[in-house]
Amino acid sequence: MLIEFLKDDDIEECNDFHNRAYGSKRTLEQWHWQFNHLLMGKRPFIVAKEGGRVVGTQALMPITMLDAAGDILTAKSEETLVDSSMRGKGVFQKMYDPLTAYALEQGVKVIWGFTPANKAFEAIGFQVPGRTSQLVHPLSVRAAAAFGDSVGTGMRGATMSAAIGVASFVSAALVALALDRSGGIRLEVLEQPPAEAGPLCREFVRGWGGTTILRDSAYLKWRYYDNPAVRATLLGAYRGDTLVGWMAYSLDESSIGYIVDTIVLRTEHAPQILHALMLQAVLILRAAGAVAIRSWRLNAHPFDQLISKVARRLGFYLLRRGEPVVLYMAPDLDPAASLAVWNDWFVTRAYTQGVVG
Amino acid sequence: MLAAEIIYLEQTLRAHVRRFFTHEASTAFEAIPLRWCLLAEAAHPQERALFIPTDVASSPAPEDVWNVPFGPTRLTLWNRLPPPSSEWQLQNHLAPLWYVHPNGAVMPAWNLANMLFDLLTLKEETSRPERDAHDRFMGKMSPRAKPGLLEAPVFNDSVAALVAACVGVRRSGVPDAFLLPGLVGPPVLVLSHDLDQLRGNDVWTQAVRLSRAVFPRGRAFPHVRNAWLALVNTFLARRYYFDNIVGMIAIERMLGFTSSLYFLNGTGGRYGARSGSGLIPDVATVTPTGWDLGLHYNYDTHLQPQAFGAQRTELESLLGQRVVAGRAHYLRFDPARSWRFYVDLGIQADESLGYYDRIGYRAGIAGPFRPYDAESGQALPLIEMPMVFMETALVEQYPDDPAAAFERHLHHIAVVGGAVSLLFHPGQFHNPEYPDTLGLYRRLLGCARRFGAQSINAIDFFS
Repeated sequence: MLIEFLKDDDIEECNDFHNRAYGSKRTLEQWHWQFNHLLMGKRPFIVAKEGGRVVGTQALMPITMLDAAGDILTAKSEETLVDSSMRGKGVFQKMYDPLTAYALEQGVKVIWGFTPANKAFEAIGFQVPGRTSQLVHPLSVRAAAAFGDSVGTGMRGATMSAAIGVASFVSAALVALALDRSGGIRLEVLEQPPAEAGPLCREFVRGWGGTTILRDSAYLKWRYYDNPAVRATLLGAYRGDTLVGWMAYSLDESSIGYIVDTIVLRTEHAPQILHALMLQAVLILRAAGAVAIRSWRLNAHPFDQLISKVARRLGFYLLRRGEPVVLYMAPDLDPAASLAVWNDWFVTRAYTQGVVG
Repeated sequence: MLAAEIIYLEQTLRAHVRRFFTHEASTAFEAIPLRWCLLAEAAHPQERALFIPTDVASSPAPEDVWNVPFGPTRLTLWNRLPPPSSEWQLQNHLAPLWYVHPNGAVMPAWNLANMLFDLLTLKEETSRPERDAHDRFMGKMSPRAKPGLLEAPVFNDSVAALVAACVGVRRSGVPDAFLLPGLVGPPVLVLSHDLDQLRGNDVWTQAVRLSRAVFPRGRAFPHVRNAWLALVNTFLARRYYFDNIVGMIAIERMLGFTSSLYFLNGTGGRYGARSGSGLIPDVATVTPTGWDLGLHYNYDTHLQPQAFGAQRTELESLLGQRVVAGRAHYLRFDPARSWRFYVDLGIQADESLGYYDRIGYRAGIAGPFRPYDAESGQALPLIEMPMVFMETALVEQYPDDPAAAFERHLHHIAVVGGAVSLLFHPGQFHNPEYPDTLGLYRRLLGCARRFGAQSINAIDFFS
């Protein structure tokens, strides 16, 4: 078996391998959008080949995060895939070892990801500090799709659907009764990535503490505006002419809406601003035909807590279903650094692959 | 064909190539001379050129339908031409596309000139008297309906074959039977919305709902649910109409598209503007830059200059801007007179040319063109962007998987080049009254996004 860094000639086969495994239709344009990020001149993407055929893939996406001390190079674990015929042969570890070594050499401090294969990751030194959870706003009985297989079939399915119907009625009432708390705040769709995004993100971290992805204008351009799958809409909140926060939202082909990301500066008005952004996102997604809206709920980060509080007032319900988070810390990472403390991470759906925005 | 007709057809072909093919393809197309000629004149060609006979009358009903493989799709052609002389041979007997001559000359195996000209000038409509109660030519009345050819964009197929032939002749002396990658531009999607209603509580619509709740109206039993819908629309009048415009724009923005919004104002009544004009400025307020605002020609303005002018003037005063694009309400369209009428009334881009009962290519073309004016022998200063898909026709024709039908067309157009248009009414977009179309618009635009479709509004073709 050959383990090597990806060559350009193998890109199409790797994408086909992914599409076969997941039954998806990812285009090459999407592939390039996701993986054309080099780490010190090299694409951190490993393939395993057997008989000239791709039988495994493992990639990292370099992502800059930041905390109060400054910018930190991290990497997101992606494209973990081993052909069923090769399972149990240590292929995963054989792919990850050179990738980890290369990433650490280049100064990556943490490798992170979300995966149901947490056992395999733990076996090669990753920690599992938590799981993702969902905040779900049901808008219709058809929202059962948003709850996935937990709805069940037969009597259980009928009961769950009825419960979802009632829940969506309650949510609709909460939205109808929600007061406009946007006093002094102007909401506006950001047609282009705002130049002040980076400074706002730094200010966000200074205010709320912890660590998060650096959402500067270059990141926003790549992550949202140039996303070939779905371009999440960024709704900006302005006080006067000053951008004080934003919310990104999208809608997938199953009519599930997503609150993809949000940032609001820590001020006494933060709850009102967040409320105004979220209410507007709910109203627009509802008008766009969303049957439910989903957002992530992760940990005890204070802004994550605020999102949860505001969301529940607007008819979102907490659903404890999601994937384990996996983290690999560089040996030289200060154990007291924000990156080393899971509850210091502020995480939204911006951390996902961006397939649905 | 008259000389003016040939010039018009050649200009239309060349404009289509410039619009939907890359510079490389366009250069190859321009490099090979097109010789419009009599069939007999092509018998002994003296030069390496593309000979296109113009004197073989096109049959009113398609004859000899066949299709040929063309890369990842198939071209559908009909009305076969005989070879001009025994010197000409079919390049491929199994997939007849081109006659080739020993000296390198090439001739199409189908009656390209007459067939395309007749389709672009709607000859099948002007030569037939059938019309429905609203004076419309329906899809089912077309001679192409029975053999299933309404969904064959024969103009695009013909141009793609021509371009491939020119590229091949230029490179190797013989026509190519497919287009090499990089010669066709991305498919274009032209989106529009007829804003027939901005509220769901008008007296006509509520009366229809209530009558359905009480009388069977063709069903076994009355549809009592309509009473509930009438109640919902009484209290949430804008929810499934005005708000849906906001929702559709939101989806378009997420997927990189824009659209044209055609407002119905003017006379009210059953076939008229049921919602009045009061909310029109509000729609303009929520419409972002890049979306076009146009006129949905009211039912009573059909070929009525004064009524049309009054409606347009009122809309322009409501919007505070000039209105130069639109579509006819109920798709009322006279194939002999409407285009000239629109030009005289200041319209620059029209999207009325479509069937309300079928999806398909009414003029045989997936893309914009300038209509021919027989009086002046020239193209009119008007862009016609034929309507290909209307949501109701799409779900009625393909109830099991309308998105798959849409995808099939887009796949074909991505190979042969062109633009398809999609009309989606706000009231059909996200409305429990129309369950068949729930979520459909998002799926269609998602599909177009995967094909890398480019978004162009009809008026933007006018230049």
